[in-house]
Amino acid sequence: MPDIANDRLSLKPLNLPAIAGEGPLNDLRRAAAARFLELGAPAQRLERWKYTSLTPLAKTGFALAAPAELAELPRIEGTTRLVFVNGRFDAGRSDALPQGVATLGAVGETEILDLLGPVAEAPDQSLTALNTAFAGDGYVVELGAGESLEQPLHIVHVTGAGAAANLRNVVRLGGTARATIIESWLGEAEYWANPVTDIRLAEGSVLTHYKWQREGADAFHTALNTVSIATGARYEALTLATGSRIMRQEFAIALDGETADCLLAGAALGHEKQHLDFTVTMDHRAPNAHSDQRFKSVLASGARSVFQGQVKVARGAIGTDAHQTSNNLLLDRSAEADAKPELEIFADDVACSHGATVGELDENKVFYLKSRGLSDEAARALLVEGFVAELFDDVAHEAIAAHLRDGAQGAARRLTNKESVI
Amino acid sequence: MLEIKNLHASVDGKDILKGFNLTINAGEVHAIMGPNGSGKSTLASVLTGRDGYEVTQGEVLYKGQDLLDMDVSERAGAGIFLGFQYPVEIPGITSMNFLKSAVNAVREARGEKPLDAVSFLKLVKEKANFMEMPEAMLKRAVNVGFSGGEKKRHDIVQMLMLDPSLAILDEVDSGLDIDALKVVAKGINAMRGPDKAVLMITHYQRLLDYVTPDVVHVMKDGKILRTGGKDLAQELEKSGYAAYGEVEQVAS
Repeated sequence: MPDIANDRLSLKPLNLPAIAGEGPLNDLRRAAAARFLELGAPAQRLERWKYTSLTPLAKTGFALAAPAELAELPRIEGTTRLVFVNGRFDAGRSDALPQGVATLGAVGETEILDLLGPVAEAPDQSLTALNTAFAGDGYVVELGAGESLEQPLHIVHVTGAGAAANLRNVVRLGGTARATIIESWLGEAEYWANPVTDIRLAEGSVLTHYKWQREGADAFHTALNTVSIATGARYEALTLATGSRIMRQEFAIALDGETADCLLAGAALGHEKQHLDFTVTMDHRAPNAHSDQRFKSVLASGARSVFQGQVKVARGAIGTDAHQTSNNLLLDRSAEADAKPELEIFADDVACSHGATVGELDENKVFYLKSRGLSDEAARALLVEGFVAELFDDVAHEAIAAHLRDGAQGAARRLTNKESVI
Repeated sequence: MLEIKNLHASVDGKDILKGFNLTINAGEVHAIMGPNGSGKSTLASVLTGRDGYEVTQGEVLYKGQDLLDMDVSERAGAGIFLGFQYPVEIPGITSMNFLKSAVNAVREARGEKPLDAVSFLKLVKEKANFMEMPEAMLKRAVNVGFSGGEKKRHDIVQMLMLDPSLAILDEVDSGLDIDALKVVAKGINAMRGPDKAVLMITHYQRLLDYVTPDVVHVMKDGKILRTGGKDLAQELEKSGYAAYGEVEQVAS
């Protein structure tokens, strides 16, 4: 059993190397490592971790690097591919870096200090501290005012057995800059990916951010995206989670400027022992900003999903328009979906809504598809795919949309396959 | 093609079909008409294989096979098409994707290879044009945001693509304006052929103005009361179902 102290799990088996050396970067990393060791990993007694237990993670040993077996790496037409293996950039498997794109491992010490610097108020500090202490690499996108990436970046992460991969990704977009990023997370073994992505969007800039987490059934994935959105800027994120044993994808979004806009969507498709958690803090700090959260889950044979959506509206953030929905489909009675909306509103004249549904497949629709020749299984798979793929309607890049649809289709077939071993 | 012999069926223990008999030969188009409560929709549900109906007596043979023993997907694979009063909406799945899954599932059941992308596109364009459906609609989610008429036309596109031997169309004309009705009728007429058969189940006569049936049956109280040619439908149009015991049926 893991030690539990101060609402925290201690990750004893995690063999953290000592951080030696002088200088402000080492000081920062040492302080972060000490903070992580002091705090431990979050336990369920913490309100924000009520539904997600990291105990299986605490029981597993990880090293900070281990070889990854490289499966065939996905490639999406019309994108620039960057490959990270065990949390390290692999230039040999990557395309040439376009203007404005770098890797954290390749930037100088002064700049790293700047980039690792205070992550915009992370709601839970300890996993972020672990990341700060050991993040050696990640993608860095810095675009000046008016600049754009010519084509989307496709970031492929592959992690191997026993590894703990701490990636720090940084995105800084200048005024009206535009970029599109799609991340693919792969790996078949038992490992722990703990990425932090820190995003700051200046006035009028737009970041479109896709992610398909398709890791193996033994992987642990704890991810945090912190996003600051300035006046008139927009952050659009769509996350498809079909893999891993435990996933926690957290978003800490600050709508810092007037008319800032944030569209968050996510779908979790899990079966067997999978536990997939989306947790969002949507912080409306300025007037007339808009946010929309649309999360879905489809679960079979004992899997569990969590959606925690917190909306905060600060005093003075009048004209806030904030909405969230959580729609969940349970394919059998052993699955469980928890949805917890939380609204903290300190301003007048706001429009906030939330809604959650938990249901089963509509047998009338199954019947209709079967009457057109589809087998019972194929009919159910197609309906599950449609339930999720509805979120992809607005994906403008055709190859990315097709990639995500493939992901949803594969997972839908896996979840509805009656032959699958339970 | 289809033989229904002494069919008895009940819903929640209540007898609805009470010894229904019908034979449809290849090449024929039949219409079953009847007032509300005559058992038309129960008959349609039993033939389509919906849950919730218990067949207590009798049999239904399709090309000599026991139809009632076949799963819904098997019925489609064997060449039966079911047209519904209310086609359902399927968000997130484009009509194109759906049609492809359906056509290839039925081809597989017939022991044929799946259609390649080019032949499929050619087929879908041909049938959609014939049914006056803009191709752009096929790129939209199945029936989502379609009008009543568009849903029915979409159903008939499916029928033409699946190329069944027997089409059973349940109240396929309900909710259609006259233009949509003509297009749907054109699709049904395209089903006519020496080795094909159609069974239309309908309350109103107006569909039969555009799809002339070879045989018309009037159903009442779970049985066929009268059988005749196409003139029988016209007679009903004039006199209503009053002669068949229905009170105050307002045909509007």
